[in-house]
Amino acid sequence: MTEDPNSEAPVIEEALAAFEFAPEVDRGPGAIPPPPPPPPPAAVAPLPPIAATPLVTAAPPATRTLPFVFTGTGAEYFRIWIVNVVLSVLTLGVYSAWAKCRSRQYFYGHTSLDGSAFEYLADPLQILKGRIIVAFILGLLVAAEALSPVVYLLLLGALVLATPLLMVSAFRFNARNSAWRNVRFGFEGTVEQAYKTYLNIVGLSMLTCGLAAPYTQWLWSEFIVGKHRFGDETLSWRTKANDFITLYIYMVPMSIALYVLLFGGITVATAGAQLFAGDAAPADTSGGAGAAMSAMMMVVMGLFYALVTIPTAFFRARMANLVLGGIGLGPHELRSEQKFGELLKVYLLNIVTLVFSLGLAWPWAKVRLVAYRNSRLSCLAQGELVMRAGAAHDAGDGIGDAALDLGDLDLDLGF
Amino acid sequence: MASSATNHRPLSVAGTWFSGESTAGVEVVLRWDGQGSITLDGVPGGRQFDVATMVISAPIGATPRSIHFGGRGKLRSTDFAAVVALERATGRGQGGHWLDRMEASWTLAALFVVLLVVGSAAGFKWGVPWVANEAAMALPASAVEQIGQGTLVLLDETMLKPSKLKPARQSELRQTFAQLKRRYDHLPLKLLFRRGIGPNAFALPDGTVLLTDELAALSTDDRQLIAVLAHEIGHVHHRHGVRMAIEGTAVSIAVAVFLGDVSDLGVVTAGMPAAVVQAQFSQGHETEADTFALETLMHIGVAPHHFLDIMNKLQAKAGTEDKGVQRYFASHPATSERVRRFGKTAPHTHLHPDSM
Ligand SMILES: [Zn+2]
Repeated sequence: MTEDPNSEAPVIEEALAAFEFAPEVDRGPGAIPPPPPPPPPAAVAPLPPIAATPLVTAAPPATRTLPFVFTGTGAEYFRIWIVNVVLSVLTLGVYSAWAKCRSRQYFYGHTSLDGSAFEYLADPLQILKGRIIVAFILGLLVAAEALSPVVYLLLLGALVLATPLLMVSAFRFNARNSAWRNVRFGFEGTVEQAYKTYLNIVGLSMLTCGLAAPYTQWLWSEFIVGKHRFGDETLSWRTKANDFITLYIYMVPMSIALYVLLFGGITVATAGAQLFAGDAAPADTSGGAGAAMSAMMMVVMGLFYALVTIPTAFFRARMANLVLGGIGLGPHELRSEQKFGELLKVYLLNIVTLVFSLGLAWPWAKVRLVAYRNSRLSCLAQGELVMRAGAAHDAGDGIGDAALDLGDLDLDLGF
Repeated sequence: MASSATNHRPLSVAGTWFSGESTAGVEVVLRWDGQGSITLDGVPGGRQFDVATMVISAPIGATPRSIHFGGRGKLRSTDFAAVVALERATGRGQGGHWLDRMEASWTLAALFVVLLVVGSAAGFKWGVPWVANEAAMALPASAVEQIGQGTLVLLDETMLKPSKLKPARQSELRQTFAQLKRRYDHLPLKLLFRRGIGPNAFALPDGTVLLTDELAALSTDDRQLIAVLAHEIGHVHHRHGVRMAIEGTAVSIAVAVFLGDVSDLGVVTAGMPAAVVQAQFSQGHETEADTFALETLMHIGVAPHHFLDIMNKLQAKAGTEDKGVQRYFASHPATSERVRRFGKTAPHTHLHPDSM
């Protein structure tokens, strides 16, 4: 049906991609903190705003809208990024684990809610461990692909089978290493639950030839969001499967319009090129026609990419609103209000920035996007945001069975 | 512990204390007495710690610093100057200041950009091809054979059909090939006939050279086919198949490293730079194989124009050639370029009677 804008995601992330905020967490140097839910009720003195001194005040149940504030800048992040890239290259990739940590710490540390910044706590050595595992698996795949198609397919099959396990491991790792006001997030989905959900999804997809995509995506998102917790409180998720289905239905006419425009464009371009060629020296066919043709093709290609960005922006803005905006924690709720037009503008500016800088302005593009997402994210708080860490906090680090504790497995290189 | 501390001016850091029990925070002032003791001013009841248990997080940009004492509680502070002073005086920082200084310097950033641009240009021009070549040459013959056979099986199942060339014609061409082969005893060369993908010839890494019926039909002189086969043997000789795989991997990794997940930023064109670089490597290989063919033809006394003839026929069949920007995506050099190289050398070899 409609295009999955995340279809380029690497294997392990593929399924993650279904879930708009997981990619942010796992790919980017850490856009918004992971299960970016904010916290809850209790009583205490938040930072800057109310400089109350100590503790438990009977919190008035006043509803407040607390914005997520992102204070990072492209210039500051650029210098971190360039150091990351150069040191990673010079150390043949070993530094990339530290690079990823610093990048995430930067984005988390510059994202604050109610005056307090998020915190990324992962140990770079753990990330390095994950990296080595991933590199080993990729190495095996590359070798197998070259040497024997059979072994390659078997390995690929094994990797697909292991996907839920790897993802649960990555979610646990990321959640456990994300904190706000010294209280950590957690992921309590079990491997069995992940496999059950995954099997349901695979079964439904096969039965419906992929037509169940909106529903299966919702199932997966529900699993991921619903199994995250902050402190001792599990997140709730208000978004219904119908919301996903409605979004996909919107995508259908958009995609059709896109293809009509695209094929129309190619036809016109071809006709135009032939006209051109007619005018040009008729003897030199390879010159006039060829050049006009390729110029036209480039225009069409550029147009195509610009056009694809439109539904992508629409889909991702809506998806972020559905996924993030549906999150609740106790009496508090998140609101995500990304606008299609605004996100499209960010995307187009990013394309221009990256193309004209040959990719060197990547940090500015990244910061622009993260800043936009945060500017549209807020928390509807009932009284003070006070949450207990609870016993779960203590268990959190130890609980991850040793077998599952593979470190950080995602492929994101941390820039 | 406290006894070992030298006497210092007392220092203080303002921040928020989070107990780790809940998100409740308390505005506090951390005071160090200049010796071994730290007190938190503002926590009800007061808290005291030994300075030797203190850990101050490494700095990253203008993000809050954390200070903890081994327990669950943690002080978060943006009072950067005070934290740095405390860190210097007590030596309780986690380090990372050299990184922070590097990340703060525009001069270094500019230097690194230059290094990066020059380094990646040089890396792709010389480094990657060199590594790919060394690796390909070091690969054991058995592995190369595996790769070749695997590819052949795959091609036979998907695109290629059995040849319909008459057995007599096949053995004629095999004999021609055998003459070429004699010159390259060290290569396990083998000629196979297939059809179904238009006029084409290609070499697999293990020395198998495939010739299509369509190409055999297109040629008007067997010396044209000799020229093509010599070019394909050039690919085998230089182990281009394996090098291509290695270079392709290097390109994907580099693009991933430098651009990260570009599609996340709304740029759907992430594949383009990779495609361009990849195509440059491929064009380099073709030029290498052309050179090899040229030398071979000169040695066995076949005029280079036969290569031109078959190129021209292929060109005519395929239509116009890539111009402008598209050329950068092409896997082969522009025909005009190749023709120019062969044309240039032609006069010197017009010694043989078969050159007209
Ligand atoms: Zn070739």
